[in-house]
Amino acid sequence: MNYSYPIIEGAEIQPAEFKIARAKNLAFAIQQHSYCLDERMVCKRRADGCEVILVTLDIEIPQNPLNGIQVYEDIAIICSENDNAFPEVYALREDFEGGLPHTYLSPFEHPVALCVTEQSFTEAKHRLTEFEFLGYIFRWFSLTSEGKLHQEDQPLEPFFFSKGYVLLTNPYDPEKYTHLNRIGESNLFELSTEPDGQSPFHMFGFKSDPQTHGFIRCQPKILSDIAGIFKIEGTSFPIFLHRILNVRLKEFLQNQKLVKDKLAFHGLIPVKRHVDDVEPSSWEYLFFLTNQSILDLGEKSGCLFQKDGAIVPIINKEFDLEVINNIPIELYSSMLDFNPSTSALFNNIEKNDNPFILIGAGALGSQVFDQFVRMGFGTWTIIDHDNLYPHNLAKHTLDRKSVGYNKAIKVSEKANELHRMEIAKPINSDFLTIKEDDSVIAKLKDAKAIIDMSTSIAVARTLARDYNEAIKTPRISSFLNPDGTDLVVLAEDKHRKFRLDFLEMQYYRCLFQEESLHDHLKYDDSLKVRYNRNSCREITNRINQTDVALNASICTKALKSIIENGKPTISIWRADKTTFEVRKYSFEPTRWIRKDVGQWKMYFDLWLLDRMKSFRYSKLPNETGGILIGSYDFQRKVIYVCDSLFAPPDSIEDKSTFERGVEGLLDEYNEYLKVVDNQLCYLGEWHSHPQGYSTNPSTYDFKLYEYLYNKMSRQGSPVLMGILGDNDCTIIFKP
Amino acid sequence: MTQKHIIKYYPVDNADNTLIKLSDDSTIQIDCQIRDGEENSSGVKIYDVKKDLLKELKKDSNKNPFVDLFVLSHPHKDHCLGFENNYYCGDPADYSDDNRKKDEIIIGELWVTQQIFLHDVCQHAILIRKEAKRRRQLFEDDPKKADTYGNRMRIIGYNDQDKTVEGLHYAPSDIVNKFNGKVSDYIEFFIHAPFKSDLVIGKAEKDHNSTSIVFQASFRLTKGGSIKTRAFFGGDADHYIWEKVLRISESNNNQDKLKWDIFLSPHHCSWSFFNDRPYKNNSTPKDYALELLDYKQGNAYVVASCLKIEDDDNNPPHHQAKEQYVKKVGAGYFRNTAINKSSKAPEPLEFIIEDDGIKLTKVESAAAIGIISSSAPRAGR
Repeated sequence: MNYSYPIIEGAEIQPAEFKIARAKNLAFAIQQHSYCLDERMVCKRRADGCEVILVTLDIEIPQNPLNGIQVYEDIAIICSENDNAFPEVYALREDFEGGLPHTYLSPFEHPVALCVTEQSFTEAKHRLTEFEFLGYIFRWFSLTSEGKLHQEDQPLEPFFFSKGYVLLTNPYDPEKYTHLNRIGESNLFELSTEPDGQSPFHMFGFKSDPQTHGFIRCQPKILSDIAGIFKIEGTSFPIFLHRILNVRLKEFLQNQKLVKDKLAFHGLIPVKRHVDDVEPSSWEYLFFLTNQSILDLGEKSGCLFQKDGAIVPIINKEFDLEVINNIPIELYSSMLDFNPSTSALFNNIEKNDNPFILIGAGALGSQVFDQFVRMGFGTWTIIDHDNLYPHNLAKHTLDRKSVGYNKAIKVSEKANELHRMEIAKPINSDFLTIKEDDSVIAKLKDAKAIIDMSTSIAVARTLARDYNEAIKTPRISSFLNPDGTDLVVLAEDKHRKFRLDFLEMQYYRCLFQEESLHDHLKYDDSLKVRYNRNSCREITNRINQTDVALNASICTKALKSIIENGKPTISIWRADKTTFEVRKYSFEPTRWIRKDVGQWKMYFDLWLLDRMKSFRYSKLPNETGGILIGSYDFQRKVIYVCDSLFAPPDSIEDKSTFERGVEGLLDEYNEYLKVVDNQLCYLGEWHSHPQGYSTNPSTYDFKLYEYLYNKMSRQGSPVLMGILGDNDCTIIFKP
Repeated sequence: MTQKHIIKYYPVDNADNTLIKLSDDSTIQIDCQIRDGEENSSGVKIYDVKKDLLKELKKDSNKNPFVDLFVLSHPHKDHCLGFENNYYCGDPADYSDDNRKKDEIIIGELWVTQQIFLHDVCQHAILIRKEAKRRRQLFEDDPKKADTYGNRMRIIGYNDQDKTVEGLHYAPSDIVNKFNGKVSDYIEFFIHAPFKSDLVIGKAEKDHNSTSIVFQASFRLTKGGSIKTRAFFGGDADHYIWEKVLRISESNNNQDKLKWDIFLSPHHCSWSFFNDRPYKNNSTPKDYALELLDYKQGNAYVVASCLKIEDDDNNPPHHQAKEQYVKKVGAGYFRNTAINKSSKAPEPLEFIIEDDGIKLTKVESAAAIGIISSSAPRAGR
């Protein structure tokens, strides 16, 4: 193997003479490997103690390999004594293509340094075998020969040893910024229009002529190193800079600070994949920082000097091109600043720019919103009239600085600051007071989903019923149970066939049906802190932040999925208190039918009707019946009938009459109310008529209804009576 | 799913044993060399060809292993050793538990030359002759049954003295894409040889090698798609045969039938492809041999199915022959079966044919996988 690169020069030794364990093991692995041509292996020790192995690899390549990879490739592997990084790997062939992805920029063009693994050496070291490391090298060549090594989300250009990073805003305008300011003591810089902090750099930005992929072959050290690479309208950058300094010197001298700031250069380079391409396939952003100011360059060129603190030009003198050519430069990488696009990328999701409305930025709302914001998912309008109080800090994403301020405003500010752009707009109002505002209605209309986390049933009902014609946007309601252990998500489908109020009724019914959820709404008064309790959804009691965080994560995932698939949902997630396992309860949303009586609308769950029909059928030829359970909304004149407790055992059921008994019924009813936290109630009675008979009420039936009506109306409660026949169900209701 | 075909050249010393497995799992075997024992006379581990074949071959509805097409290039020991005991002969309906116990492989369709029916075949080919005769007789007695699985046969090439089995032959210049009763979307064979003139009784008996079946196999990845790879097989045919292959194809404007991406060096990398033997008297390669090699397409491979090629006077394998091949394809594209992965325990050269053409796989399996995937050596007292 006849190569004379300085980095592989050293005394030839036998493999057994290697002192560095990594080198010795590599040599052994090469001898064992089927596709290392070990007869060609050469071992060396460099003067600095590093040990070098030269070997030929027999690479698996396709018949027409890409990137010039050949079936036999000579490589050098260099191991250092301190063994604190992966051994360096170089492709030795003198015509080995430069500028390939997953190569490093070096101060020399050849040999080409390969980046054979993206792992951290610290993480990989404890289990890395040399045989495996050889595998990385083979894989590098094979994948490069098939053009498959490079992933879509990785830069096309080779890696270089960057001194640090410059944060790129999005969108980025290279001509907008004049300064690079260091962030604290870090190696991160921010672009700015003003100098800030210690030792800011004055930056000259330029847009280079297009380059073809692989244009950077080695790491530049002085400005002339980039002369051949970066050209502006055909002029190399050092000459371009030379011209600017001379032409604009007078202008620069107006600002003595500018003249004393160190210089930085920033290149925006359109990169084409192939020479013939018309459009660039990517844009490279490179930053070069120097330790020289315009004053330094002027003094070295003999065209500027300082006198009594003033900077004075020397007549008939110019900046010296040689001085400019020799400006030492350090290459900095760009790093995309955090924004919705990068946050979606780093969360491995598709970016979503759709508008959403969030009503309620409390404990659950703020945490769910925070997760959506960090995922770059959506643009938001946040509606909440509450201020942040100290006790909220236990479960809220806001911190102490926000105490006393409106939650909607503060969570929006936090989100916008995180992305440095407006992704959330606050509305500091109670939703119920602004629900008719045109601007609010317009936002509700435009939104992709309206997410209610207000813990207010009034808000949920308003959303469910009050804008049906005007606003087609699906509504989603989510809340925690009083314990904070259970998360509830009720979601309308995208066509709003399953509306939120029906889903809510069904949710209550399902709590009673599913025995393991009987404690879902159980509430311990001793845990209350300071508020009067308004609804079963209110959680300003002593629930635990870990429960809120756990459920907020599940909620975010569930909401995202619902938003994307548009399916109706009634789901409850429950975390076991001792094992922390999460169980999901899902209930299939059911269809409802409507019967109008006067101004009142009565909704019957078809599931219930089917159940009543089955019960009637099981009792035929006798009549049977039971009590009706549901809810009513006086404000909107709506009655929901969602369940029934059927005839108790002491009921009298015969072919022409039915007398509903009482045995155990009250206990069962009370238990029902307890389970649903009184969100459902007694609505009346129903009974069946025998086969072949109409469902017109009999004299007895009218008498029964009068009895019920007299009892219930005294307390202002509505009452129904249902008569179930072969094909229909007649409802008797006196508004 | 990505479509790909596989060609495996087994390490069988100076002999041939090749398996083609298409993406639809159809299989074609060219010659066989299944040896007993652990090591050859030089201490090189004998690769278990049968075990690997059983892993690659499909099983029929009776769960018996079968190969769709078996091509016997010519009836010499180095092309048919192990046929007996490993391949099933007879009516497939009679395949017994005893055959099953021995994992005997049923041959869906058999390709032979007229030479198999001669009296002077080597003892290892006697059973093939018997099976070929059975199938030929069946063809004459019951052509319908002869066109069923396990009974099909074709005789490649013909001569004027052999007129008894009209319709059973494929002749030079025939293009075949149907075997074992199925038209293949993925492979077609162009028959180059044996030529009628080499099958003349008297001449053929003297030189079986010259009656080798020579064909070009063209591979497609999709039905009606473009040809991705062309592979040449020619048994032990010598340069006289190859000259005819070249001249006839060129004169018939069949240059595309001479192209190759992978070339099995004839007669185990013998000098006989380039000129007469001995080499010392005929050390200049014939122009037509070199010309034929120039029909290679891009980075094409030459496979030498032979013992490890040393710089000595052996022939085959012949060092100077190797040098000639290397001059044409480059060292990295000349592959000797005897040294693949290890010269002490060589493994098959496995090529895959995919959209990018042909690729030699070079997989170094993890040691643990190797241990787990084979039975562990005996332990205990």
